[in-house]
Amino acid sequence: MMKKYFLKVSIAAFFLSLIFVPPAMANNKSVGKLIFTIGKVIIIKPAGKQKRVRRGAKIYEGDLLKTHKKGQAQIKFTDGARVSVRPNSEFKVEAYTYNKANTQESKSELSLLKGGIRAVTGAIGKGNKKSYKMKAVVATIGIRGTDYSLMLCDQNCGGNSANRGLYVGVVSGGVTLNNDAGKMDLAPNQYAKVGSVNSIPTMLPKAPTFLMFDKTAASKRERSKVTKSFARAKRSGVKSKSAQKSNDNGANGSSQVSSKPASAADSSKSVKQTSGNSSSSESQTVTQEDSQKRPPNSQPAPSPVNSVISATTNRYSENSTIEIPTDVVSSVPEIGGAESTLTINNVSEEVASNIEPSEDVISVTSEENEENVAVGIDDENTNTVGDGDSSDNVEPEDTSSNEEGLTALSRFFRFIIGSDNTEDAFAINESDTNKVDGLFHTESVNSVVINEVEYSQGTATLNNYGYDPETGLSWGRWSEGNISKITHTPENSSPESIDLSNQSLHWIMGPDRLDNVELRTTGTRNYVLIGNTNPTDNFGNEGILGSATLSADFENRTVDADVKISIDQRVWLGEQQNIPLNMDNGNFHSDQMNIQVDGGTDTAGSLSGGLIEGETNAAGFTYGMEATINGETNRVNGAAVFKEAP
Amino acid sequence: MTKQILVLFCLISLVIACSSSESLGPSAGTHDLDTITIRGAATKGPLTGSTISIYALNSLGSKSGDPLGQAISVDGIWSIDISNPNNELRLIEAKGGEYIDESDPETDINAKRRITLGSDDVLQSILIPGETTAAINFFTYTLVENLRKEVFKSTNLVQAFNKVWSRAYNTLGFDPFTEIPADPIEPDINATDTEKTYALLIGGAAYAINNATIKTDNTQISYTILFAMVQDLADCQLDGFVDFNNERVQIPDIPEGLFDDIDIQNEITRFRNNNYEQYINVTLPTWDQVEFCNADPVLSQVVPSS
Repeated sequence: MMKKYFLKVSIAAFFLSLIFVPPAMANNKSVGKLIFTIGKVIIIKPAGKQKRVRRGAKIYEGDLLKTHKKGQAQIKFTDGARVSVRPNSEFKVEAYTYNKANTQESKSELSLLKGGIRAVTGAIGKGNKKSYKMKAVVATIGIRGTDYSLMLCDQNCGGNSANRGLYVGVVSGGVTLNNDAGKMDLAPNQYAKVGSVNSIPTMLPKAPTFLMFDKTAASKRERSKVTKSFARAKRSGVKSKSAQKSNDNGANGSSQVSSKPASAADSSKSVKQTSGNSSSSESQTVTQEDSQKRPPNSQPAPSPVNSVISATTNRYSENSTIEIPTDVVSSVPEIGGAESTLTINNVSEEVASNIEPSEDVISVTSEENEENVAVGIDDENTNTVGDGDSSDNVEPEDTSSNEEGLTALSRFFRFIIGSDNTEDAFAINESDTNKVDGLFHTESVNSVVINEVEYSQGTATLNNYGYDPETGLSWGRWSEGNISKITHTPENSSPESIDLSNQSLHWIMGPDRLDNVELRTTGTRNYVLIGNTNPTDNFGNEGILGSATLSADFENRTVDADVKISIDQRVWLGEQQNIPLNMDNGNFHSDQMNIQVDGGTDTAGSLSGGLIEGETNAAGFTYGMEATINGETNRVNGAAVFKEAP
Repeated sequence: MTKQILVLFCLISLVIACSSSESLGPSAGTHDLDTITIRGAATKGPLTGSTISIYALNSLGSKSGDPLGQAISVDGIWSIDISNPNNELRLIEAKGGEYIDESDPETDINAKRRITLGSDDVLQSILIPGETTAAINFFTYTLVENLRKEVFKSTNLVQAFNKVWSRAYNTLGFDPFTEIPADPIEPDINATDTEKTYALLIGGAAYAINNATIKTDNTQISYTILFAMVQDLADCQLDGFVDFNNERVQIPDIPEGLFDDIDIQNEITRFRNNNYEQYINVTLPTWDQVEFCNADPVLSQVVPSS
């Protein structure tokens, strides 16, 4: 009898507790999540509890996000707003409420306590500007539909105490600076400094070098008028399991792993998925039938246009091509490597359903149910299967209507490492870079992340750093010392040191790559060489690039390219005609480049690059050439950058 | 290796300077003095064993008679006394010599790669009356060759030079004979915009010569190719042809002659981009071929009359 009584009381108490939830608990759902991290990023809860987080971690009201010296993070809020947090910064979500049905009841109060951010406002800032506030110690920022950057300088801006203060720059929209001294409006491409809470902001003639700001990219974004939803085109990841491919494809190690075109009519394809924290062993096949079980409130599927992502690795002979829809191209890196695998994250179910299963596709997570599959997302706090967090049901705002720079958050990036000619290309997140006055800081490329693989400059030296202000492309070469390659897995992070004493990592970066690459379909285009790294070989020699050419035939969808260099008293010529050009993303790749070394032709090489459409059309490729000379294998690598010929 | 040719240009971009650090304008000068001491320094050293000579010019623009003064550069430093300066144009020539390739990563200076110019390998420039500084490099040599072509069309050396001088000034926006370029690879932080612009021009020329060298399947910088390019550009167009006709610029042992697909402007741009941090906000020189080919230029630069 007593037992029954206590049972009833307990049940009653339980249901009462559900009804009378304290307000604090009622608000305890995530207000956003980290869609990108590099290096060490921690979240400090209001109670003081700290934990290290990575991509996918959820953000809650009151959270203080802290990035370390080499850490960076990007938060996507539920209203679609984004904040990129720079290294050595502290950023706090003071208060945040988002009512999708009524933005007047929404608010976003954020604080920059240290360091710098770049912020792009979302639905709250768009629908209820007064409810958006960004505090930054010496001033409060109000917005008018905005993309802006802040930097709080203490000793972190060139070590000059005279630089102390808050620096503000506006990409689009506008901001209003408020402090005890008064108000000041800033329009796009305007910059100001606020020295203290009592000082009047002063206008600056140009962006200081330490202020993360990318007006070139922003203006291009505005011009592009790309309206596609970033939510659908957001960060994804691809890795190719080239070693496996090599075994599967005979002695020459060449493979083509391609899906059929993902046309709407071609809906019978399926995708191999993994669940939970499984890396590859627990897989399931999701068919089109499965993908049609989309939640009723999910976003409409993007048009399934194909793109080709290629990854070339390991001594030219292995080449994989995976066709995926265009709307994830901008954020899907192309990656290869003998040990790499393929992961495609965060695509819509329909997109996922259009990816043909193969041994290369190790896992795919769909946007709608990514919390349940969580492949490749390493966060102890979130992304576990069915974690029951009510916030899982909070669907992000469809930002398709937000044209303020939300669509082009990836960059063209390509690199090649000399030791084995590992050749990768991938997009990196905008927050990876500090681009000021058209120049990338050198530290902007001291660490890049391809999904869970992080390359850090380490003790290597940046050489041959170049930049073209007309196209926005930059390039360089890490050499000497050691770089660090860290593969982050859900279980751990495995660092690997790569010795660059006798080789280099050559890279080409950016500018922001448009989601929709609209190549011409007729005619041809010639390019002229505008920059390059010095070619290097696997004996530590540094050579001279004499010339390189590139031309595109849009009608036949091919490119012709050649490069001629001298190194170690030999002249190398690499050339290839009719390299297939992917018309959806502008990429091209050949692992059958004809090589001549001092006239000899018993060699092979690879060339991988892309056309970058913009106000000034540009292009870039990395190359790897190999020859046996006097019984020794010689490998030569480099990078070349082009713009459209006048 | 890449910097090798740049170093060559740097080292042979010689400065002839008097004790005054200021460059004097064409109307000013020390030509009424009986003797002046000209001190020179290589813009980047050390350049050792190059013979620097100053000659009188004959009516065809070639050197005439014995050197008016001569010195051997040691670690990039030299000085020459010349007597009886007057209002005449003089030819300056740097011949032979050895320099160290400072781009060689070898830390032991004695082990660094050394490049020796042939005993007959020269670069030339013009010492303008009243001026006490002069640069010697690829472009000044090109202008000297351009002067010689102009002299064929003019009976007066000074008038011909005024055209060449003015065309160069109008094309580049500075005087390439008297302006001293900054070090192309590591321009001094205090270098003027003009000095850096001039350095970009030299760097672009170095890239063009690298390009031509490798196109001809050579790995070593070749004076013959440099000389061929001087001859090519001397007609105001770097097009692989001599004087706008179909005759290829000849290169010894290269039957096909000089290539015609090297664009000096593209090479200048490439050099600037590859060294962007050193040249932020520096005016990119524009090789205005039309102006440089102008048969009837505005005479912005005129040799002072005697």
